Amino acid sequence: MTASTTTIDLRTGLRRYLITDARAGSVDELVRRGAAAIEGGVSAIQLRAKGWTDRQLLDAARELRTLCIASGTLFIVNDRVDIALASGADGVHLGVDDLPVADTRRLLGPDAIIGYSPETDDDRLAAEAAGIDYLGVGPVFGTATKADAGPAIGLDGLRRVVERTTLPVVGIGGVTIENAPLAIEAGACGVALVGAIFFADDPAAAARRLREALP
Amino acid sequence: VTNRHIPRLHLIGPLGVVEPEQFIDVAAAAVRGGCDAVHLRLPGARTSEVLPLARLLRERLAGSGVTVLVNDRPDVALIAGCGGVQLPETGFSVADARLIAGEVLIGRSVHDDVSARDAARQEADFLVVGHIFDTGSKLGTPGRGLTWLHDISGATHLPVIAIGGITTERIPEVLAAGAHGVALGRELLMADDPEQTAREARGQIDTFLDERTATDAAD
Repeated sequence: MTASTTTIDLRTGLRRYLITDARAGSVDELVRRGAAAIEGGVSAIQLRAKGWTDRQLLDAARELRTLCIASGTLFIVNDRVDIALASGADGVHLGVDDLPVADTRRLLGPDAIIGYSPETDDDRLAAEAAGIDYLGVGPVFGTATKADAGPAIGLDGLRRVVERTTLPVVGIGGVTIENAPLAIEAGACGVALVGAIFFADDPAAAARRLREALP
Repeated sequence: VTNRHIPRLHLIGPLGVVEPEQFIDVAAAAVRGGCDAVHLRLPGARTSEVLPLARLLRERLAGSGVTVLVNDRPDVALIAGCGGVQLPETGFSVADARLIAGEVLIGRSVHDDVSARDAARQEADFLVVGHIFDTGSKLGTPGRGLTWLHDISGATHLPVIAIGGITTERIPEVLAAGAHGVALGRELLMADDPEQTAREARGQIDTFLDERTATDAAD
């Protein structure tokens, strides 16, 4: 890991967290939307593009990585530890269907940021014991992006996890610029958004509005 | 020219043709019959499916001398302790794969001589080239044929593993066209007796190599 941005306070870095989407259609379009969001002030970007070829993922990762270094933005790769290693990302975000946390830590080293989306409390505890750095928790609100995300846990569900963990928590799922402050009030250090920024007509303007809502 | 030992009889699966668990049994049988490389290829599978299977495969085949290669995923190969990675044309560069997985055997799948030369420049250990004959897994795309195989085998110094519709009977002509070895998928996965089929394939390879050695000596 080159980890030039890992010195950023993690809670601050996770505050305005953009997740990309395969429906960008091409590497160029994904990077263009990502670059606009960085310009608008997101503090972290997670590269997620399910179904893309490894070459496309790696190309996008390297371009985003360069933009993130220049702007002091955290760069996280979804699921793919190999893409994170090859692109020099700050870390990875894992779910229950991805590589085990302990193996990932062994590959990426102690400085990498490992995020995790637990499905149950036991699941969360096991991941915390294995050395994750932050939690992605949701869906906080209903989501249109992930059909398989399950029923919304609501702000109460988010608050419950925040109360049980010492780790930074990022609220995800149906987050918009309008409801983002509610997730912060519930104890999240940040919010992860896909559609509200990535698919906005003007991702830079949307990211700027998010920064105004969550300075 | 590489000094690594490059396997000559590769099994590729499960490819959705057999259940993942069943593939472990087919692989063990094929290795008993003489396969010296097994590629774990599960297109579209979740990491949580691929990693356990890679581990099972490696454990089941430990001590047999076979190389287990994970398709696409150098991180999974490293974590599962597998000896190789097979990269698709749209996958990692060889250098990136080595950066992640270390000194493992790295094969690159190619479909034309430009990609073959590119893989040679990147110092892949071998090429997987196909498909040579018509095959049920690539319906609607005719096989490229032996002349094409001959041309692409001559395009680089890398050993070529031919794939696609290769039956045991056709192995001698495939090797005669310049292939170092063959990769069998459905031919082994759907065989009534994978061990016996692998043994026949290995017999064809060994016989061809013996005869070529004898011919070379006579020259």
